[in-house]
Amino acid sequence: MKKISLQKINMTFFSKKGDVHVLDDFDLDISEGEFVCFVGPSGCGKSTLLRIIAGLLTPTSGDLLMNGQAILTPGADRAMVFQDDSVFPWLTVEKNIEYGLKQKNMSRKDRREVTDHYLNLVGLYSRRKAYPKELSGGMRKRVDMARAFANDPEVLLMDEPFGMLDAMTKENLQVETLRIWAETGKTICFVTHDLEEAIYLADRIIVFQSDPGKIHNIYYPEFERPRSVDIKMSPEFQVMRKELIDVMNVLLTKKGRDTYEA
Amino acid sequence: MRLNRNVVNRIQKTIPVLVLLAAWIILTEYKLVRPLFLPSPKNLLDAFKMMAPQLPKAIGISMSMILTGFLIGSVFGIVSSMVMAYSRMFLNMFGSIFDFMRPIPVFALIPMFVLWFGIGRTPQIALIALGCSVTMGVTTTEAIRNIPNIYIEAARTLGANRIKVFTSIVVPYIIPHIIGAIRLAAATSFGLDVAAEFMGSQTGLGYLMIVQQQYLRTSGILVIVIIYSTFAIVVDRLIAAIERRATVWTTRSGKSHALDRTYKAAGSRKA
Repeated sequence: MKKISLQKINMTFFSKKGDVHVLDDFDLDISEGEFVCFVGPSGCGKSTLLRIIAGLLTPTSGDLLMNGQAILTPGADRAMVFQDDSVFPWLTVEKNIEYGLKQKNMSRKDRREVTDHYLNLVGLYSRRKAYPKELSGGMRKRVDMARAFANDPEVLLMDEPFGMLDAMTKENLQVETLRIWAETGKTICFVTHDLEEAIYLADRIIVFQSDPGKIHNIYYPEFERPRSVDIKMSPEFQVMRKELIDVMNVLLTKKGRDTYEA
Repeated sequence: MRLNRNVVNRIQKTIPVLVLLAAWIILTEYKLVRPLFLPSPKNLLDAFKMMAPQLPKAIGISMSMILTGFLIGSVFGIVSSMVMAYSRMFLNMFGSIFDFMRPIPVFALIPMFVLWFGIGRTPQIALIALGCSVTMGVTTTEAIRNIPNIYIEAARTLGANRIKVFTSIVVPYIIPHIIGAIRLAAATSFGLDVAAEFMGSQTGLGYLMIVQQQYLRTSGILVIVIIYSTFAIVVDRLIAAIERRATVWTTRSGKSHALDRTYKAAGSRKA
């Protein structure tokens, strides 16, 4: 079933230095429960697309539908996890996770129940009274994810959520993301620079090309689920990774940049 | 030998105070300085005793003026900048006026205030209120401008509407800044009160000070300075206590020395 449908989306940023055409007649359908990754050279519009779906940006032209209805503003049906730290520092861990539930005027008892469930799911129950400044970067990211999932959105938009984390923490959170995704059956759009991450997580990888941003290529990592991290070492995984690296290098050379380091 | 860091800190803090006190006693007791320029501790005590009957009333009047002016000014400053933060229209209408008023030295307006409000308490309270509202307004507006966009975006994607973004993101984010500004405004209002009372007041501590000056009673002036300072310090400590409570979530950690803090962190990593 079609969850999100993008039709002829154009996005131009107007400025005195010159207008930047970021997305060009962009078409994309995302199914319910799908895990889609967006990869591509920086400036290709993948984050812009995510922010458009979130309703934080309004496209210059084009139609944007969710469940067949136009998306005009941000809403609780689409939660976003940002690359930067967006955990509210003035709220404790549990109050952060509770935030969206309060906006929905959920009763205190129900809030408590949902919050505790997600605190346990991300392994932060014992730290629920802590302020974000007392947590590590990886823990804060967990709070961020728990807050997004607890709000029970239909779609999760994740904008390079693990870009700032170290390799170990990143892998742990990838595993947790898949686990929670399997448990909740949400639709996830995930922007990343990390090709390995994209292959490990996604049902479908959309490779963007830039200037202007459009779909260059689509990959389907058809590894059996649930996926263990060991598949990253398998020959099939590495073949796909090599293929993606080559594609990315072609895209980057076109832009006259250095080769892809992943 | 290694002394406990706390003991060392305390010794380092106490020594300069003791040295200054000793210097004061020696300079005055041995008549190295004329009492007109620097009275002795005993002179101060005498002056205090002499003024004692007038003091309660003077203190009452001055403090109530400070409090009134401070309250009116702070509330006006905070409310107006909150309104400007909430509504683009108000920001457009009044933002530039505030920006224009910000650099005006409030003290320079004293003659105008006397002209407009006459002599008495009204111009004095108005002066304190204006000084406070500028301090509070500038800080609040600045804090609101500095809220990271990401918090607002996160709140919106979690379903918060405009009013909720304001009450649950903007307000808690700026509260530590506002309390900092209140502290600054409180200190400013004491200074403004002194200046205001110098300009044609018939009562209050500042007026009493002018009288002492006319009779060249330096010790009397100093006693009043000490009274002002005591109240200012008590108020400052009170607000600081509230500040510590309101800022538990910020990364600022009050007392320790900034350089020390990072050195200690480096040391503990090794251990």
